[in-house]
Amino acid sequence: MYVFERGGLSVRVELDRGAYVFYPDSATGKTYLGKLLEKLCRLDEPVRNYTYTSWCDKVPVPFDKAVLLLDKVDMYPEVLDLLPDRPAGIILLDMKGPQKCVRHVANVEYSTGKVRVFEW
Amino acid sequence: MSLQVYFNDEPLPEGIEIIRDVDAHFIDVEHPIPECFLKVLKDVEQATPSVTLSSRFVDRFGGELYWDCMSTGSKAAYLIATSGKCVDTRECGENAICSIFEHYSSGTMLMYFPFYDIPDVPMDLVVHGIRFTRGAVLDYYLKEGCR
Repeated sequence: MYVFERGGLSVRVELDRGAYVFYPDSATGKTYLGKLLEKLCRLDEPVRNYTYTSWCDKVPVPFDKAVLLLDKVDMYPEVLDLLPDRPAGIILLDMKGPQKCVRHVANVEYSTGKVRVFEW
Repeated sequence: MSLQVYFNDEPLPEGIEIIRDVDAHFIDVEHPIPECFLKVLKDVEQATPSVTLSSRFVDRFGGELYWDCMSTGSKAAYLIATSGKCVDTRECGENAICSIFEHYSSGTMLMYFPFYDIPDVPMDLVVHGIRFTRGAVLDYYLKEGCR
């Protein structure tokens, strides 16, 4: 469970530690969540939005974060081989294709400045 | 003319150009906006073009956003309608794919994953050289026929 609520901004990731894949629909708020996580990262919160650009730039995947969103994983599916067996925090995977390593599905509810992630 | 749907495990026609990274290739929505794309925009984003600013759309919360804020699925739908190239849809959600199937009768797209919940709506697309005009038939074909 990770919660950040301050100054009208609310990010609630109502999940236990582990890896989760998002329900594979478009326009559910995943990218918006990623942008809010980038904002929180700059406020020194232990969260990170890891993008395809990060992967292309060979940025190490920060698996030690409380919340790690791996954006557009279908573009770099090799990252699935790096997933830790016992994650230190909550790992959220934005991917549309089939995969075998993650059994939990998450979904997003959002409005301006507010995001809630929950198990589906 | 029909929407051409290719799967990544089949050979593509020679000389076909593929847009692999939709987010990188999408720049803006130009007017006139294709009708088929507007239908996907409504289905997927519950959004409409802004009536005052051509550079923006009105999202489901009533906010006006730049077109670049659309989902990757909607950006792919726009590129399928306008680019004349084969658009890689691996980053498109199932809702966007099904909406494109329903509303497009031209364009070219590349798919990686079979989708098994295709709604039974009229459509006009070609998979493996076979033309499909009903979602239920395509759904059956992808489940059983092409195995």
